[in-house]
Amino acid sequence: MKLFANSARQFTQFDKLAQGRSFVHRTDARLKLIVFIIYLACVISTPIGEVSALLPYFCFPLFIILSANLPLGYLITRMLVFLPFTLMVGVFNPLIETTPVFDYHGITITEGMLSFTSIVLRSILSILGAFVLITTTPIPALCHALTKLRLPRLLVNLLMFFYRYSFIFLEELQSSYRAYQLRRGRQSRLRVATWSSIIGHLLVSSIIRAKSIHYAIQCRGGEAPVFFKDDGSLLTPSSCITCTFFIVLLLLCRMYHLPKLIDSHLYFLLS
Amino acid sequence: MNNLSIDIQNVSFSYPNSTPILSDISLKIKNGESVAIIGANGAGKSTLLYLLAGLLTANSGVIYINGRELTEDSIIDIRSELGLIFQYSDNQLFLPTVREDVSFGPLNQGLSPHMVRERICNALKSVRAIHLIDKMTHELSGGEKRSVAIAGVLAMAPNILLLDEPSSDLDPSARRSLITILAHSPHTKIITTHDLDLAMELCPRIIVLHEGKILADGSSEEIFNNTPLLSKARLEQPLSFLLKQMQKKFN
Repeated sequence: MKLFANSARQFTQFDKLAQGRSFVHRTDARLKLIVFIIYLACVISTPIGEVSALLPYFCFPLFIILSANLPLGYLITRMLVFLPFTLMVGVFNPLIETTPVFDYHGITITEGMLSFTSIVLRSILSILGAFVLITTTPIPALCHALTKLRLPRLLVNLLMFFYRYSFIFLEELQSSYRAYQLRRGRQSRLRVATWSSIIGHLLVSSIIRAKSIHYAIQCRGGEAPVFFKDDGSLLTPSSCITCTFFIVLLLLCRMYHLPKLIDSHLYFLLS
Repeated sequence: MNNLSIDIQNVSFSYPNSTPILSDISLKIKNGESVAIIGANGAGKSTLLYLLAGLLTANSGVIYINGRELTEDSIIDIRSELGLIFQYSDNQLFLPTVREDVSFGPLNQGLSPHMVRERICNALKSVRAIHLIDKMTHELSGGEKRSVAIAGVLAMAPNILLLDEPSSDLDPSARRSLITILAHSPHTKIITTHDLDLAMELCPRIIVLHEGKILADGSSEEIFNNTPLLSKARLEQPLSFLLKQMQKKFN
């Protein structure tokens, strides 16, 4: 339960970071989304054996974190929360794939080790990229952007409702936990019967709340309500140029193995 | 010419396999009238409002809103004439920002973007909440949420307001603001409330509901003077009424 209470604080913190006024924050959400999608596509599509090809991609989230004045240490700490799940996905690879690829200072690097490292790096890059997007773009702006990019309205509405009511849900969860703490007596740990009751109660109250919200929507929006409408906002030339530049860089990183290229040029210059 | 805003004729309602919530309710409310519906918990006050908004369908009886019968065909048009303000503002403010939430109603009425912007500004100004226009709904205080919820309904330009426990969860200052806003509003108002002082201040006419039936319908003076009636309905005389009586005695 403490974990949930902590999650509530983090969620609110991310929301606060998205209210910044840097150039990145002020860039149109559509452009940020497009750049993020291309960034993800480039990271995911990098061949699994080319671990060093992933390294240049770190420049993108790091550059945006620094230029948007985001707390790097905080984001890295948050990202580490997801690392155990990533490790679980790839932990058996070194044991299954044992074909040697090369030797490094006497250590045999196998295909399994490379694929495991690749999975971890991709995961870090993806999570950092997602963090950068949601800490520089308020969710309502993201929802508007998704609508403009012709994502099905149902999905956008679901995202919007999830965002709006996650704060309420977390508040109710915190209230339930506090009520439990005040009456738990000498009980040191939350018992299964207790937390399952709390979760059950939250589910039931969510259903009741959902019915009320549906009534409220019907009252003002009818049976087939429209939640967002295109406000006709135009993209600024500076945002377009910046995003085009990023997209070109991303594509160059994907098309060319930059570390190898730099390495071969350096070798040529030094020899 | 029919000057009735609301005409409820012999309406009864119960949920399937449940005890009756409302039994044979009949009442008429004129244009511009402010009526408070009071009663103990479970008396059927909110259910009556939901029936008027077409969210529930009566088992029997007829409801007329501004002379039009409330049916499945007429409900969409009728809903643009009446606005229901829910007890829990968080259930009503379902969009992430104030601007989006207040514009939701006018947008779905098919108004042009220019008209929508005008309605949003006028509605927020009328509840003194224009400074909240760019705020996130989850960041608002209880009073602010209530004001924005009212603005969201006012933006649809209804002529009837249905308010379900409007002063619940409000601090004294927010409650006073709410009373000021409602006192100056020319709409026909039906207010269900446990706040009997608010009912006395805003509504010259009081309807007492008890176990799904109308126990009494009269002026606030008549109703609050009738202590046996209030006792039967599990209510009390409001403090402001008692103070007024004391003042009259001493004068």
